Amino acid sequence: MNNIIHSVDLTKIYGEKETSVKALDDISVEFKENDFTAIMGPSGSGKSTLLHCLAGLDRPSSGQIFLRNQDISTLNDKQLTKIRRDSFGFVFQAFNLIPTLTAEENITLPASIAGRKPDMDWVKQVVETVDIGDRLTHRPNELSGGQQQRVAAARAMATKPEVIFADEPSGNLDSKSSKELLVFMKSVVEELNQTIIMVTHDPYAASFANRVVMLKDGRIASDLEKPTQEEIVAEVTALSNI
Amino acid sequence: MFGFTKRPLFLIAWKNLKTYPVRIFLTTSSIILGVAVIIASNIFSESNKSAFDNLFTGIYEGVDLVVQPIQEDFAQGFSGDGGQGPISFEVKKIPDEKIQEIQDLPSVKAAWGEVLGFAQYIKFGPRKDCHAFAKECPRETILIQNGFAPTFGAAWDSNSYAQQWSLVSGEPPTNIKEVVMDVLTAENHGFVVGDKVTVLAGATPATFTISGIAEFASVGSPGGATFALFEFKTAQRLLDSRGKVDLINVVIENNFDINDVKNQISNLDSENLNVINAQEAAAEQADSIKQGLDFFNTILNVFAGIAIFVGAFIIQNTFRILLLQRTKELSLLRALGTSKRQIYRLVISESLFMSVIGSGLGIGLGIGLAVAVKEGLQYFEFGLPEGPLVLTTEAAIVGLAIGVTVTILSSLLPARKASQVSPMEAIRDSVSTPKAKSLFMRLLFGSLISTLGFGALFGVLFEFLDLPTLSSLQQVGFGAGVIFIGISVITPSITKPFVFLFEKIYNLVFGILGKLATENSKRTPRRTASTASALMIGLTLISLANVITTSFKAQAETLISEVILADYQVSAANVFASPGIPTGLSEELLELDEVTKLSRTRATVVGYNQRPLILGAVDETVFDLVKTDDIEGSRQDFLNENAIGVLRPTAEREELSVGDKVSLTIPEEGEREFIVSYIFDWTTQPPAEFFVLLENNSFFKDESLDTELYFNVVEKTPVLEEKINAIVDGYPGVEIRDEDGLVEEANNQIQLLLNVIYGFLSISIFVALFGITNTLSLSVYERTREIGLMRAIGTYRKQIRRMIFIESSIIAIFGAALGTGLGIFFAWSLIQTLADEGFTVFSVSIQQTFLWIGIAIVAGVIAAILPAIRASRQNILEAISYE
Ligand SMILES: Nc1ncnc2c1ncn2[C@@H]1O[C@H](COP(=O)(O)OP(=O)(O)O)[C@@H](O)[C@H]1O
Ligand SMILES: [Mg+2]
Repeated sequence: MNNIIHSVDLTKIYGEKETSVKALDDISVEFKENDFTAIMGPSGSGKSTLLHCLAGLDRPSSGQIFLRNQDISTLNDKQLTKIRRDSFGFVFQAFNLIPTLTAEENITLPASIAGRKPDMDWVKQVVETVDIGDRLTHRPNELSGGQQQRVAAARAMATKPEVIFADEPSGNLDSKSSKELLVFMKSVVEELNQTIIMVTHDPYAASFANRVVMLKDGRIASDLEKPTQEEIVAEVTALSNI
Repeated sequence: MFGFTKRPLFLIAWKNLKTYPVRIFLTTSSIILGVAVIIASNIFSESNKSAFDNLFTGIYEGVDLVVQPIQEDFAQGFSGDGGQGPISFEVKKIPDEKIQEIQDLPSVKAAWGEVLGFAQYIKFGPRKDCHAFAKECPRETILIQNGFAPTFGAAWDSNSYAQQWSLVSGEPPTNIKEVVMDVLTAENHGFVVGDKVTVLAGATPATFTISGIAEFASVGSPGGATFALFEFKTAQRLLDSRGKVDLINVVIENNFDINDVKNQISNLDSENLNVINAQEAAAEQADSIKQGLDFFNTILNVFAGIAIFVGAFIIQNTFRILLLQRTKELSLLRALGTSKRQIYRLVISESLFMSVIGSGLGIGLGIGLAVAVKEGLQYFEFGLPEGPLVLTTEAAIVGLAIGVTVTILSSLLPARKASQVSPMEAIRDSVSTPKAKSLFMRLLFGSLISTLGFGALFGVLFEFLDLPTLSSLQQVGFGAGVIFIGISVITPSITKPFVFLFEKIYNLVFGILGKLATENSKRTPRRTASTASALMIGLTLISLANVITTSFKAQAETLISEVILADYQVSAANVFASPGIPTGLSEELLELDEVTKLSRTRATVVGYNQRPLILGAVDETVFDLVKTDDIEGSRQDFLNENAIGVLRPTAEREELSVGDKVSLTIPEEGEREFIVSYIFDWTTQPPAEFFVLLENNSFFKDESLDTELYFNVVEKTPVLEEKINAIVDGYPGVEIRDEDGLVEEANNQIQLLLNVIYGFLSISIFVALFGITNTLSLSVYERTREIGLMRAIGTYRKQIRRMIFIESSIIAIFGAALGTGLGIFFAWSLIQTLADEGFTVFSVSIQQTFLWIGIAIVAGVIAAILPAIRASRQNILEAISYE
């Protein structure tokens, strides 16, 4: 499989001199096309920061990020915004939807702001996959938390992005809804050939991924291929004991 | 009383304000403006009053007594009305010998005569309507005038006790070729000592050398009038006063009682001389003018009231917005054990601080505004006396009190609401959006109020309801006011339907951004509505003024074309400046073959039943050139030797009918009898009440000036126009207009008034802008996450800004549409009410209407600039991170 996005010596420092925090320390990591990767690590290890930098939401202090072969760390705000709109999809932990728009309008929002007609066949397929077809005309406040996150997932996929970034997408959900969402995400990768990079601290959620990247203190501590939930738990325990 | 004893809260309130100076500005902006208008109007009228005081004390400076001729009773009665035509010849004057007689009294220290009349400086220059780059610009006579102020000629007082005029430079006039000019005119028109200047006095212009420049009681010139001061005998000759003076100034010896001297002088010739105390006269004359100025002051205060009213809306809105943003902080204070009462006091003390600061700034701005208004009026050529600007302590206190009271009153409700905040609020997540309350009650109450208003208003128009003690005009005004309040109450409940109206169009034009913006304005209908209301007030008044004036213009146009049948009308350019039209002009015009019909009008004051009346003399053709109506008697009979025509209203008042005898006292002629032969309505401004035929009456025939000329030509052509203009140009101070010119002149006067009204009403729009800015700022603040999310998924900064602009345009259109609609409706009602007074034309200028709606929208977008920039700069990560 092809390498779709990778970082080279990615460092992110927050704050000035004495009070500065090195959130990411020289990270070089690759992500493959049509792969489902989970980024794990203890709280404050830099998971969100890595995701934000990769997704063009935040700027690295040094190092580069390549989308295919394009260095996106040097782009200006306008160019980055265009990349986020056309090449990336996002699912956040909470507040994913615009409250005044219906589920359908939220799903087609990225296309709308690009001034394009969404690919309706594809959107239908996505909507079917996440199983929210009967909720399309509802506003977010009429949807359950699980439904809201599925709508967000559908929105993230609607433009056929190169990469979907998800930051604790199931963090606010009960275990049933959480499982449903993760199943959908997995099927999205397997059946719709999407690429997902997901931040989570939950070993159960991570077990749906094909690959788990473990962070600690802004560095990659380990990189597991197709781990089971037990292996993940063991690794997390090991890391927190060091 | 506002919790000053509770030191900690006082401190928090003060700290809050120090930390957020922008808050003070946003909240108080409208109060600043409102107070500024109050202060400005006050300064303006006080300054004018003091200027008039100075002027009148200046006129009698150093003089103890003034001796005036006793006028024949009818002329006296007339002299206050402003003249029409040559009336100066019948005004009585005092013979020169009397000066010496008075001077010879042992009690009199000095006595000197004054001569006053009309004289006007003229110059030749490029025509005013010339294009700036025109190669050839015909030169024309330009009448020099400061605004609308009169133009005077007078004698230079060489008496050593005379103190009114003092030379700034040069020498007094000593011969018939010299003149002293007032310093105001010299400065305005660039004259210096030694220059030659042409002065029009009487009917013929003559050239003089400026021997000196003088100022009047240190104000430049009284009332902004232009003054040409001649050597005494020259003044008498030029100003139609040979051997006579208009009045005598007297200074008395120190050891005499002023009343004794008064009697002594009076006794010299009690039939003809009237002696008055100079200081009393000054005070009286100043008072009568000041009463006139009070009217202007009232208008300014009405505008200030409007600004304050709009301001109260906005302050209340802003307070609510700012307090909502501080919900967390306030609830934390509550959680820490602060009582509701204390929170209430905290908010009120903050508003007290703000109101004091705001009112203070308002007073400062008001001073600036007064200067601007003064300059502005000078630009529009309203002649008002020169003088320093005066700010009275009372005005400052009143401004401060109004500012503080309105601000605190407007903060009461928001403060009450803020004090209700639950201590739990601090612990809960994120920004809270106001809960939607049912708007049904509002709709119900608003509709009820509006219905009452419509009842009162239509009651007048369709004659089914007549409220006691109110005139129909007052009832319509009352109804309109009630409707306005009703609509203001309803607006929040019609926000949604209104937005729905153009939602589709917005979605089509602006796509998803239009959809988001329309949805947002529907989200908080109350806020949208109250923001729009502030704009609505201004637009209502503007469109009311606009429609009324447009209708008046249309009315004037129809009227003029209906009543002026002549192709051309000639009149004196300004009644102060020139006493009339030299008769040579009508003779020259009649020599033109193309002139078919010409009528002259002359006028004089005569006595009728012991009262002054104007007697006009016309040529018979006048009845072909000016429309007369409601005619009784025959035109043929009017040509008889002793015939007299009477205006219809005068005939009714005096109970005259055809065949009656009328006896008039004619100056320098005596009693004469006429027979009423013709009664008619003169459909324009009538030049007189009684009319006789010009060639039948010698006392008119010998007169050297006409008041007005009307004439027709074979065909109006540019060539002929050139010819006529060339003739008229030979008579400075005379103006010729055709129908278009008359219409244009009427329109210009109306437009001038409208511009002044617009100027003041723009202030209310300006105030409303701050309201829009505040509302949008809050809206942006509440949507921090939403906007961050939109940015994260790929919305450009530009698009975020556009979304805010669109939202603002919705508020602006809402306010503008409601305001314009109401304004037009009110104007229509008003004109319907005035139908009995002859106002029949209702005309809406589509252009002006859309212009103002456009201005409102542009203003709305300008108001959105700051919030839009803030929204687009929002940090994405802060907005989306969840911790
Ligand atoms: N905006 C910020 N300013 C300062 N420090 C930050 C900021 N965001 C994150 N950090 C710090 O960077 C480190 C990594 O944070 P984050 O990437 O959010 O960790 P995780 O998502 O793994 O919990 C933490 O120590 C955090 O305190
Ligand atoms: Mg995190």
